[in-house]
Amino acid sequence: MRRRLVAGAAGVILIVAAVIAFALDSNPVKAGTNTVEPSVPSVFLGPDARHCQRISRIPADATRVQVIVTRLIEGARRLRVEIVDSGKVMSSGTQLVTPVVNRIRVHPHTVAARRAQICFSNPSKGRIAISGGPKRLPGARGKNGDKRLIASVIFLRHGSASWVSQTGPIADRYANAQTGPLGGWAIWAAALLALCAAGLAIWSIVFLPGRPT
Amino acid sequence: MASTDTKELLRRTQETRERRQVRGQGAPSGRPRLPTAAWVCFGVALLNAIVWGLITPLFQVPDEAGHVAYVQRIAETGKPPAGKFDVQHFSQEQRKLIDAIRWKAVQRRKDVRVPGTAGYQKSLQRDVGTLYDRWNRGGYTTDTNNPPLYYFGAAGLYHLSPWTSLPDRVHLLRLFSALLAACTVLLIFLFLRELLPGTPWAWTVGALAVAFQPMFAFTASGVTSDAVLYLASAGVFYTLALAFRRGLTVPRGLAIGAFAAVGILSKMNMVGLAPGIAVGLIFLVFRDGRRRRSEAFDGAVAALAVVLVPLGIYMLLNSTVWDRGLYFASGVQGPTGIPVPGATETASANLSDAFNYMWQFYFPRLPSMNSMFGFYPLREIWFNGFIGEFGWLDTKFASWVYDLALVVAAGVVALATRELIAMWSVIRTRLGELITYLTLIGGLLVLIGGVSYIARIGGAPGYEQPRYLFPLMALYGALIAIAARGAGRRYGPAAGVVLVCVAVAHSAAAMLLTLTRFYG
Repeated sequence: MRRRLVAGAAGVILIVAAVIAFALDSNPVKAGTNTVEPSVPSVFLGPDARHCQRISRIPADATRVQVIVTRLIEGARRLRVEIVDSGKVMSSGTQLVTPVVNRIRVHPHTVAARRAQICFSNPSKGRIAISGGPKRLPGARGKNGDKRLIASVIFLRHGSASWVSQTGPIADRYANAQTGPLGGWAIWAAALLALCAAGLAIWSIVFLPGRPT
Repeated sequence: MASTDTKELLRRTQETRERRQVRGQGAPSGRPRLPTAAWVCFGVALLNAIVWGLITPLFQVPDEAGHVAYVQRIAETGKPPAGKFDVQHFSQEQRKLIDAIRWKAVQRRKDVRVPGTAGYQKSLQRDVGTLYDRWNRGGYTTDTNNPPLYYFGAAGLYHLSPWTSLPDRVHLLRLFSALLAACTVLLIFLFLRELLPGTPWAWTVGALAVAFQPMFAFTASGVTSDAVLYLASAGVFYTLALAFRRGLTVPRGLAIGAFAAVGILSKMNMVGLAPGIAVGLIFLVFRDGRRRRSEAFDGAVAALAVVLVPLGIYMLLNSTVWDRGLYFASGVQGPTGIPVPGATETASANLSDAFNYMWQFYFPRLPSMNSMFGFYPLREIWFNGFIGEFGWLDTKFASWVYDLALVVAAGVVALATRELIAMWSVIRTRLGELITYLTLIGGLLVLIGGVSYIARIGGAPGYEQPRYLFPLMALYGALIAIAARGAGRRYGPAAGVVLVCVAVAHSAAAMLLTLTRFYG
């Protein structure tokens, strides 16, 4: 019994540590995405080339644009990003990039806009490949199933935040995604049920083996 | 330890025979009650699966949208879908819901969260409250080839639901799935009770490890016929173990057949367990002396009859009333005449290629083999997938978690191996049972590998998932229970506590990962 109790106490510490480690893990705060999964190299930028793609909604207060660079060829190093609304550059930034995830700072912070454009250019030599995927074209052509490869874009807000500091927004988003009898209460009920399941399980393996069956 | 177990085995066998005789003399005939631990495992699995059902957004369990369309088709028309390619598979109500929740934008895109503003909620409530057509034409989805048993049960529940909007009905069906997952865990507890009769604490450890396995709970909590397949396969393991320990009788044969029939009328993957069941029945018939052999033979015939009669009725209904193929709705690709994209001629499977493919699908490639994969399937599909790939395989842990899990798994396998070596003398007396379990594993692996091989010849992208192996969850529970025993008589129970706590921590991290992926 004593050994099981000690093991149970160690196990509870392990569970709590796993939950705390996850909850305190810092993540960039996402403001929005263009809902394209970065699955294949999709945009190729030669020297001084520019590629623009439509963004249906630019979130407010984003300070960085996250893109995934798949390849840098022949000495390409810098990537420029511009957010253009009604022909006018609203925010922009240029940064040295490396393969994989890059977060490019844009100035000033973005302003909420609809049907704007995001443009990528390669101000240096060489070629840059940006990861993205196929997306249906806007308008009548898209209805016929025509798709085009575009870059995957994520807008990030300033700084980073742990999941525990985002409990409120997560609970709100969950509540707003429910219908009918389910609502914001369901996420707290789920947490309670998970605690009950874990508690019952640990109790049963620590205390039940000692009892006559 | 080995001799203790043999004695225990003998003692329990004698106990069973004695009990049977006493009952015949008019003693109280109450059925043996399940131990409290069994109900605890059932309750824990139920709560855990309900939590998964609550935190996973609608249709973000693989193929859930197709399963819901199948249920709605039966509920609204009374017929399973014919699976034709040129007709609509979703009802108007489901199409509107899928558009409203922006399912396609969220599915398989790990950086896209579900929409969740107050304005969105109002428009969602409005969409859900609008009355749309609920019947669909039964067009093809990846689920239409499934036999309809699970869907008829779910369709009954669909009508019993006090709420009539589709999201509420899907949540009610998820509760049904959670109940099936809990029953699966209960059957695994009972299987472990027969497998390791001398170690009651290990039954709980194995069953709880299954209950908290996050991919099992995540998959089984969705609207999916896999939930019945898992229950049926756990039932087959339990009833076979029961027959191996206490003898094959007609009621036990009926039980084996009933579980096999439920599985085969719910999902084709059950066919993979058929060779193992057949081998088990043959061993059970021939291991006994001539006097008991006829009783065992009757049991085997009963098992066969319970499978074949409903299967025959189903096939008859399929081909005469429901306008479907004999077993599948719209047929499956065989090993010959496989259309290859971009080529005018068809291709055929061949045995050496199939062997080569299947070997590399599950084991490390041998030096003489041509490479079939650009990656290592054992690690990337099966191991990492088992540790956690949630949503539509889009939500994964950080890579260090899989590396850490590999270390833990190595420890578990080492402990289990130690115990199996120590128990070898007992295992030798139960060789038939062992061969049966190995055939059950082999049959399922060959089925999944074969289907995958034919699909790859036809140019299909790989979409293999560890959930296809979950009909073997009873053996996963056994592995964990045996590993805990491997820590020795002194430390075994404490090792069991630690293993269950690791499973709980794994489950908690997986739930948080899923929650933050969709809502964070």
